[in-house]
Amino acid sequence: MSTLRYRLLLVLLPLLLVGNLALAESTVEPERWRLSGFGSLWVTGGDDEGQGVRRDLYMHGLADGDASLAWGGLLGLQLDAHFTDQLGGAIQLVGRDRLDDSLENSVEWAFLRYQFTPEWQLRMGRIGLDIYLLSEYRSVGFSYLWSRPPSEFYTTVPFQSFEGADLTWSRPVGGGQLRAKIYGGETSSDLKLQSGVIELNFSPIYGVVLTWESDVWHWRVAATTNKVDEPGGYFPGLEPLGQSLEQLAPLWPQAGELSGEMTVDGERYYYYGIGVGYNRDLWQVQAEVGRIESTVGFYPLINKGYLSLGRQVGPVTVFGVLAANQGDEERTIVSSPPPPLNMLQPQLQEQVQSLWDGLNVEQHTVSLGLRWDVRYDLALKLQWDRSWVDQYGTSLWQIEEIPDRDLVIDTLTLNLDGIF
Amino acid sequence: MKSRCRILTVLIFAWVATAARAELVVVVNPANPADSLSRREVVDLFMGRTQYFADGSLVLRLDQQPQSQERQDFYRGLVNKSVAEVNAYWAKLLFSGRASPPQVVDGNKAVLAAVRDNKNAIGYMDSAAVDDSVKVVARVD
Repeated sequence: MSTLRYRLLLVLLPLLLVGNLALAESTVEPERWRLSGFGSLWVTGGDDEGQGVRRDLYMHGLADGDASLAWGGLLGLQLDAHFTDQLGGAIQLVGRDRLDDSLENSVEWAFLRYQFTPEWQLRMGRIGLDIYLLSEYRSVGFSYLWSRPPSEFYTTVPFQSFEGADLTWSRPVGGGQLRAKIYGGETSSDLKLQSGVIELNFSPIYGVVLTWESDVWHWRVAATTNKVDEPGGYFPGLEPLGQSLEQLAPLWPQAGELSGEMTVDGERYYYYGIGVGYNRDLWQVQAEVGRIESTVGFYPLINKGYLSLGRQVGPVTVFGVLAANQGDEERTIVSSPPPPLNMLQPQLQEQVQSLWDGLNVEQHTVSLGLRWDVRYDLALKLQWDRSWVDQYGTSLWQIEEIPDRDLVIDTLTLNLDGIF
Repeated sequence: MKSRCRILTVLIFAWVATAARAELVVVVNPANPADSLSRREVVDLFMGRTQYFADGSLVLRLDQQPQSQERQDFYRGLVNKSVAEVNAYWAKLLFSGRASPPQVVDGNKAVLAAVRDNKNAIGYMDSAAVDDSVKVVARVD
C-alpha cells in the first residue's frame, strides 16, 4: 500500500468520525448533509499464476513472487448535500490500490444534481459510468453477493466515471419503475500493459440506458461509445515501436499494416450490454451479456457474459457463477521480417507478437462461494474461483510474459465488506 | 393426553410469537392530502423508487434504528427482506448517487414527533404508540 493511500485513509477516517457524530446528533429536521461510506478488506490466495489476479485494469495485481496470500482493501466516503428540494450534489472519494494514486483519481465522482420535476433529473460533473448493471457501484462490495464482480465481464472496461452530464427520466410503469438516461462527456483511464502504465483519453463519450425495475425483476439495456483522443496518433507508449514499424514498411510489408493498426486517435469503441436480475424470497439470479467492438486495429472484439445463481440457506447465501469472455477474431500471427532485418533486429518479431497476444482476452471462470451477513451493515464472503485462461488471452491478469501453455488458475478469496 | 398438552404448548407459543410482533402502521402528517396509500406506493417511497408525493412535494422518509424490531418487521412485511438485504439494496442506490435512504430516527416517539412537525414526513411505527397528531395511511402485516 503506498504512502499516499495511507495519507488518504488518514484524512478519511477523521471525516468518518465527524460524520457519525453529525448523524447521531441529527434532529427531525430534513437532513441537508449526509455522510456515508463503504469499505472492503480482502485476502486472496492462489498458486503462483494466481498472484496475477486483479480486480480492475487500473489497479495493481496481487503481489508478484512467491507470496501465497495477498491482502487488499478499499475505503469509500461519500458526502451528499441537499441545498433545496430540487438542487443537490454529492462527492465520493475512494482510497484503493490504484496504478495512479493521485487525489484527482481518488475522487470517484462529484456532481451537482437538479430535479426539474419528479420525472426529470439533470446531473453535471464527474459522474459514474452506467454501462452495466454494477458499473456505478462495483466498488461497493456490500451491495452484491460475490467477492468481486465477475472479471470476465467487468474488468474489460477500465474506467468508472466521466466528466460531463446525464439526463434521466423515470416514472412508474407496470408495477415497476421505468428509467431512461442519456449521458455524454469525456473520460480517461490508466492501464497497465506489458509495455508499462499508460493513460488513455477518450473524448467524447456518450451513451443511453433503459431500465425497468420492480420488487422482483431488474431489466436493462445500454449502449455506449467513446472516441480515442490521443493527438500523438499511436496507442500511448507505443509511439517508438509504431514509428519503427512504419519506417520498415518498404522492406517488411506486414510492418506497415501493424503500424497502421497501432494508430488509435479518432478511433471508436462501442459497448453494448443487456442485463437481468431476479430477486425473490430465497433466490437471487443475475445475468448479463455484453459485446465490445472497436475500430482500433489491434483491439480485439469481445463477447462476454455471466450467470450467477444464489440461494439463502439459513443465515448465509450460497452462490455459484459462470463467467466467460471470448475474442471474435483469429490470433494475429506476426511474420518473420525478411533478411537482413531479421539479422539486425532479431527480437522485433517476438516483441510485436507479444504485444498483440498480450491484448487478447479469452477465458472462463467457475466460482462458488457464500455470503454471510454478520450484521445489518457487515458481510463476510468466501469465494473460490477456477479460471481457464487461453495462452494468448491473458490480458485480465498481471502476467509479465506470455505463457507457453493455457493456464488453469485457482484462487480463494475471503472478503469483509461493510457500509456505514 | 400427552398429545393434547403438546398441541396446547404449540398454540401458546404461536400466540406469544404473534403477540410479540407488533402491528405496524404507516403515518403521515394530518395536513397531507393522502388518506390512504397502497402497498405499491409505500414500497416505492421506502425503496427509493419515488421521492415525491402525488402533489409533487419532496417526501421526508423516516426509518427506525437498524437494530429495532419495528424496522425488521416493517421490511419483512413490506418486501420480505431482512434489514441487511434492504441495506445492500440501498447501498446500490446511495453509492451510485441515485437516491438517499430514509432518514433514521430513534424510536416510535421520534417518528411521531417528526411526522407531527413535518408536513411532508412519512414514517412507520407501532400502532399502539399512534395518537391523533398523525394520520394512519397504511398498515403493514
